Parts: sequence; C-alpha cells; structure tokens
Amino acid sequence: MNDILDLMLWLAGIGHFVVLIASFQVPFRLRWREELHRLSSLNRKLMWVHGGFAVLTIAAFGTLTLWLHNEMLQGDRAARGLAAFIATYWTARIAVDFLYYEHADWPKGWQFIVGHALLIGLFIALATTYWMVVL
Amino acid sequence: MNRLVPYLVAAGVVQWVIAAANIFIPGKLRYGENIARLTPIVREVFIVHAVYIVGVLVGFGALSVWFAPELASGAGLGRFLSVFLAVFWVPRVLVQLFYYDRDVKRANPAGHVLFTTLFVYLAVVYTLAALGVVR
Repeated sequence: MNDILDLMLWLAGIGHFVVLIASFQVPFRLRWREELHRLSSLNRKLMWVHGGFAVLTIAAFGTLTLWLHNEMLQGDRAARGLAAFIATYWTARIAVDFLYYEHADWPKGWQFIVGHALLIGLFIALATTYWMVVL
Repeated sequence: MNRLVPYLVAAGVVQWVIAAANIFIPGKLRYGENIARLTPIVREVFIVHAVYIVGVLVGFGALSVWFAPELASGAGLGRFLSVFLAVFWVPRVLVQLFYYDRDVKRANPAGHVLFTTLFVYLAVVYTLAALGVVR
C-alpha cells in the first residue's frame, strides 16, 4: 500500500506542473486580452492577480509534495493537515467542473474535449492521492 | 514555545478576516455589471477564481491556526509552508501598493490602509517564520 502511495505522491507532485502547463494556455485559448478589456481597469487587474495567485498556489502544492515527499508518506500531523487542504482544493475543483461550468460554453474542437477529459482525470487522481494521505 | 506562535495564530485569523471581507468586494467593485460583458466561459472562470481565492485564504488561515508551532519550528514541512506563505503575501503587498489603480485606492483610503497593513503583517510574520530567526 505504501509503495503505491509512494508512487502516487511523486506523480501528484509532477501532476501539478502538468495542470500549470494547461493553465498557461487558458488566457490565450479563451482570449483573455480581448475579453478582459470589457471590464473596468480594477476588475481586469483583479482577474490577472487572482489567476497569478492560483498559479502560485498550484506550483507550491507541486513543490511541497515533491520536496516533502517523505513527510507526506509518513503522514505526520502537519503533513496530513496540508494534504487535507490540497485534497479539498482538488475535490472542490472537480465539483466546480461537474456542477458549475457549462460545457456548452467551452471552445469547440476535439482537442478541447480530449484536453478537458485528461484534466478531469488528473484532478480526480490528485484528490484521491491526497485523501489517501489524510486517511 | 516559540515566540512567533501567537503571531502565526493571529495571522490565521487575519486571513479569515480578509476572506470574510471578500463578501463585500463583488458589490463594491460591481462584479455583476462588469462580468455581464464577458462571454459565459470567461465569466464562469472569473467567478471561480474569485471564490477559490476565498477558499484558499480560509485554508491558509486554518493551517496557520492549527499548525502554528510547526510553522514556527524553522524545520521540515512547517518551514517550507512558511516559505510558501511568505512568497504568497510579499507579492500581495507589492500588488496592493504598485499594481492596483491609484484612483480606487484614493477613493477608499481607509480600506486601502487597512488591507495594506494586514498584508504587511502577514508578509512579515511568515517571512520571520520562514527565516527561522525567532526562537
């Protein structure tokens, strides 16, 4: 069991950087530059700042997971607290995808369908891994 | 007990206060009227980012309140988490001071001063914890 979790944690750490590769395409694919010009200056800046801090948070989750691999695997108190936070983050992200995002609004094309399915699979794998650390 | 622990617990509460203050932001910045101009998918992303930032602040607050001794320990997972929280809050001070619109800050001086003070407090406390200089 520990061997499986060992591997899953390494993959989870790397998985966060895969999410970031996808995230960096969002502004371009959804034409943020053109879209956000419709907002007031402060709201536009807010969107960029929120996006930037989301990237920072995901990068930190990945780095923490890779760097503190042994602590996570041993499941000490603080490591389980952090894992609970990351698990909740990704579980909520899955819920947002299924319950909030309107898939009819997504850009059309097979590459978006495949990319979206892969991302959802990755979110589920991330949530599962961190819940396993917590439990 | 490390002398930084009560300040880290307070930092957790401060983050909950900032998260709670976000309840008033959509009304104050006229989110509804602004995001109505966006395409549905970008509008959904805007809302998800705004809600996620609140969730992340609640999570950081919880980590800080419940794991303050670990964050102050200057070792292992706690120290790494302090580094991340410092890396999160130091740029937030810079964003507040140098990126957000001057006109908006002039129109809301009390809010600007209060938020800047809270962000500086968080940046200083987590930087001290990250450096491990307080015993």
